[in-house]
Amino acid sequence: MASSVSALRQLLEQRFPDALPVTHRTAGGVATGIAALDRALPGGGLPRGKLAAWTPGGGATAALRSACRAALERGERAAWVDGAGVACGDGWRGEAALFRPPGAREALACAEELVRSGGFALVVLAGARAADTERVRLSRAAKEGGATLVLLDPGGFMAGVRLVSRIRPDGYRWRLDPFGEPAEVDSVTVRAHVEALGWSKEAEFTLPVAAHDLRLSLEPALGDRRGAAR
Amino acid sequence: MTYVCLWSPRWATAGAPLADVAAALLADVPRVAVEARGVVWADARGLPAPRLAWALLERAEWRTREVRAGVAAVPVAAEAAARSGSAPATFVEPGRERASLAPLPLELLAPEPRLRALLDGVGVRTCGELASLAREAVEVRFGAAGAALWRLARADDPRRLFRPIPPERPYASMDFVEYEVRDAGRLAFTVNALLGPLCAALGERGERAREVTLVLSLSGGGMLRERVRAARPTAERDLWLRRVRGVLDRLVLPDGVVGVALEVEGTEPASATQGDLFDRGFATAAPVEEAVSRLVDEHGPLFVEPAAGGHPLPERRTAWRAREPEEAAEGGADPFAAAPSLTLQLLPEPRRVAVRVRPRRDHAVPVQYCDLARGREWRELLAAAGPERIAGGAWEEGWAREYFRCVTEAGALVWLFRDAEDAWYIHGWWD
Repeated sequence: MASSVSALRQLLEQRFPDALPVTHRTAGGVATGIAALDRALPGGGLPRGKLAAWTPGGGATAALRSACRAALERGERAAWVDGAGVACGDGWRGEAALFRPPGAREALACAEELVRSGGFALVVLAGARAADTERVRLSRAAKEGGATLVLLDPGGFMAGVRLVSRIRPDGYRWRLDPFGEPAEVDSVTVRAHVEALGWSKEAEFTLPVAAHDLRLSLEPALGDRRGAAR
Repeated sequence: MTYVCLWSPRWATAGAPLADVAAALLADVPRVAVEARGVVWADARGLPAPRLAWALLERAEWRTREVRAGVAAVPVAAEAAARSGSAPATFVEPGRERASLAPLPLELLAPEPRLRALLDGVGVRTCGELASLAREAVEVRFGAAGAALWRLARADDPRRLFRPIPPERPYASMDFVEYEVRDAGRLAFTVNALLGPLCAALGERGERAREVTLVLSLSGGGMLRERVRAARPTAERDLWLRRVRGVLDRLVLPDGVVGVALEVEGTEPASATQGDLFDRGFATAAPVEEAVSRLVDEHGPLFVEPAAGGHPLPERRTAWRAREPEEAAEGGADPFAAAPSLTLQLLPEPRRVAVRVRPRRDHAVPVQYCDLARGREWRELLAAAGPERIAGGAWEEGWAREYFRCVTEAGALVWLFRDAEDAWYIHGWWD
């Protein structure tokens, strides 16, 4: 079946060289599922068939995982390429197909292959810096596959949309301990700046913070034997 | 007519040389089966059955040992013909099996003694008389054994005396007659040549290979076997060549190679995937699976999911389980997934940092830190929550840590800890 589809695609490309896949221009952007951010993005979401660059500074991973989940809910697919191996198993909720390549170079190859396959609406590449030439290559792959490729990377070269986000230092909502000192972060306020050709908008949204449970011991010198798998 | 049944009254006794008879028959027919009750079967499918029956009778020395043959398309009809026939060979025409059984006594079907007495009691003595009854009536009165006998009396014999022969697995080999190869890399050319007919054979049979074994014949007389697996069953030559090349690259040859063979170990039909037409991702499922398979083949098991463990140290708590490429095409959202939130991004190994602290009640809290791997810049910490303490492993490699969640002046929420030697590390951040 795959071969017949690709044969049909080749035939259409020969007969109608100017034709574009239906996802180009006709389908809306890939919404993040965060209303305030979607309003700030041109087209109501991350653009399909293009590269998006997100300078990480706080809230980027949460927003993109939300976008992956929104894509899954629409019946599309999303992939997350974790080039630095920092995705934490405890916090991963299966929002996307997770790929953990052994290095940055493999992460770039992995993202390119996934984007080019045409089966993913959204591919996020985290923890791998892409040089300018590699960005050109990735951009072409995104156009060919009709997918949104988001690079969590400061550079903006070849990007259709550039985002910068940071957590406002004064936007932390703390739960205090009996001494009046910070004990738990309840939520944070994230400010995101969106730039595209002829487009500049800001969005602010609040995100809760997932606690990471530790096994506690009151005394540092005391051996905690609970639950250690050996 | 596909079954030839040979029977002799002498064979029913214990110690009859049936094995010798069967061995002699193999000269004329490829498959022979022997039953302990003194019956020898020959598989005549695809062979001229009458001529074969006479040839087998000749082999079995029918003139001296009173051997008779029955030939029929149904085993029970062939055996009844052999046992009841007056001529040395009795042939049952196709479609006449039931009629040939009808006049014969039920004893030929070897019913249980109790069942035989019951049938005799109601006057059913021949196969035809039993076959003419309704199945339900037989089953109600004589039970399952009666129903089974009724089927045999109607020449409905479900026995499979000869199992289908599984097709030979695709195989390709080449021997080096005048030289031997000592560089494993050079074998890639031979493997490439062998993969051509191998993959073509798979394609002709409509199959895909799950595993291929590379067999190297060594000049010293031994064999070196290496199993090669692909992420998904495939008949693609390029993919198998890449996988075998990967094996050859890391292979150290203990001796010169004088022959190369490739054996397909497991196959499955190359059937199309069934899917839901209303699933938007269905049309692209195959390309996704292919793309992920290529990645797994080239870079190893990088498509993973976490399996939570119970280790107290965060960096050792999660094991990453490899997933199958077809799972990437499945998709599907977790209905219980939480709303978007900042989650911990955990460094694979904690990274050393320098920290300045200030005292707070009974402990010290960080107020500045410098990431030593990223320059000498000191970052202010606006708030620090903690400490959260973990300790353990006292009898092996002990650990004791005090974790702090700290907000930097840039707004980032970082996770720092101090160990028992008072060294500080950054272990992750929330994003």
